[in-house]
Amino acid sequence: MAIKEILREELENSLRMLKRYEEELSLLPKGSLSKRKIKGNEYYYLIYREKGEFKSEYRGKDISEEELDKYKEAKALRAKYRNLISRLKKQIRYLEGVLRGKAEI
Amino acid sequence: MKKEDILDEVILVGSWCIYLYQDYFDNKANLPPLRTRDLDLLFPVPFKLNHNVDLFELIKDLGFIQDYKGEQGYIIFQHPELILEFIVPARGETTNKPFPIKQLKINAQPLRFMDIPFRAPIQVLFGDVKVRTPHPADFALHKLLIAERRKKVEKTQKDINQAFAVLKALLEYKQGEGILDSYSAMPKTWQKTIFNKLLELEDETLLEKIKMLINK
Repeated sequence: MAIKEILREELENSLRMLKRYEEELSLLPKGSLSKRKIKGNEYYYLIYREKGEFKSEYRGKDISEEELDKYKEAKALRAKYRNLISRLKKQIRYLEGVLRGKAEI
Repeated sequence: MKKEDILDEVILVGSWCIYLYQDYFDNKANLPPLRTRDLDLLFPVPFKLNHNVDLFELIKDLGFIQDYKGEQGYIIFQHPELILEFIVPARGETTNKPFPIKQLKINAQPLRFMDIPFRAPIQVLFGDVKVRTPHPADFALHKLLIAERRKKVEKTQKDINQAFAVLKALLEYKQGEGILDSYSAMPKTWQKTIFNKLLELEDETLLEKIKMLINK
């Protein structure tokens, strides 16, 4: 009985957490900045995906360090959050299975 | 957190203590291994950290996200492996208003009876970091004191099981060390509640040993 109650609590926590991670992920700036060299000059482009297609948006010759850091941090966090979301989904599947009596504890 | 001296004043409470007490009992005790992901950190009031640290910024890179618990909006930090919750002892008139811990840019949930863990905390190893937990006797007697206040019957049972397992381990491996001190330090009304809960012990030998100890 106590075990089931704990598992139910854990399932609720995981579901709530999944929602929050997805929210956080959607708040991160989209895409990543890419530097291209054209005829000896360097230009920055924002690369992102929209409806399954890659898009490239010109962002100028000079980009501030702050802007570069913002995209760098977002890229790292996006990878981290996606990994954690995948872990959470596995936890949820497992916990739901156990609570339905289909998986072993 | 260790680097910022935050752990020097904080006490780790809740079901993780059971896991950490294995070290205190030299891995000999038979303690229930069940625990949730919630790791409860108890802060003293006042909290005397003499510098400011944005606690969330400190752990954000590990993948934690900030969330708010309940209608009151207590701050919690979540990660698939761990949920950090913050607690302070409730003093005076009962209030469940979030208590701000300004140095860390967090708030904490005030809870009753949370002065007990500060009586004689012990240090245990959590990975390679030393953390403070309540003395096992304080942990067990506190669990017995709050068991009946739980809204869910399963939680009451979990509290009682954990308390009895820790009391048994204290008697078996530490000659009951701390049980009398913890019990004596409590007001008579708390002692009565605890004593009544002890009577539910099915292990009569254990019950007699504890009775002898606290009636000395």
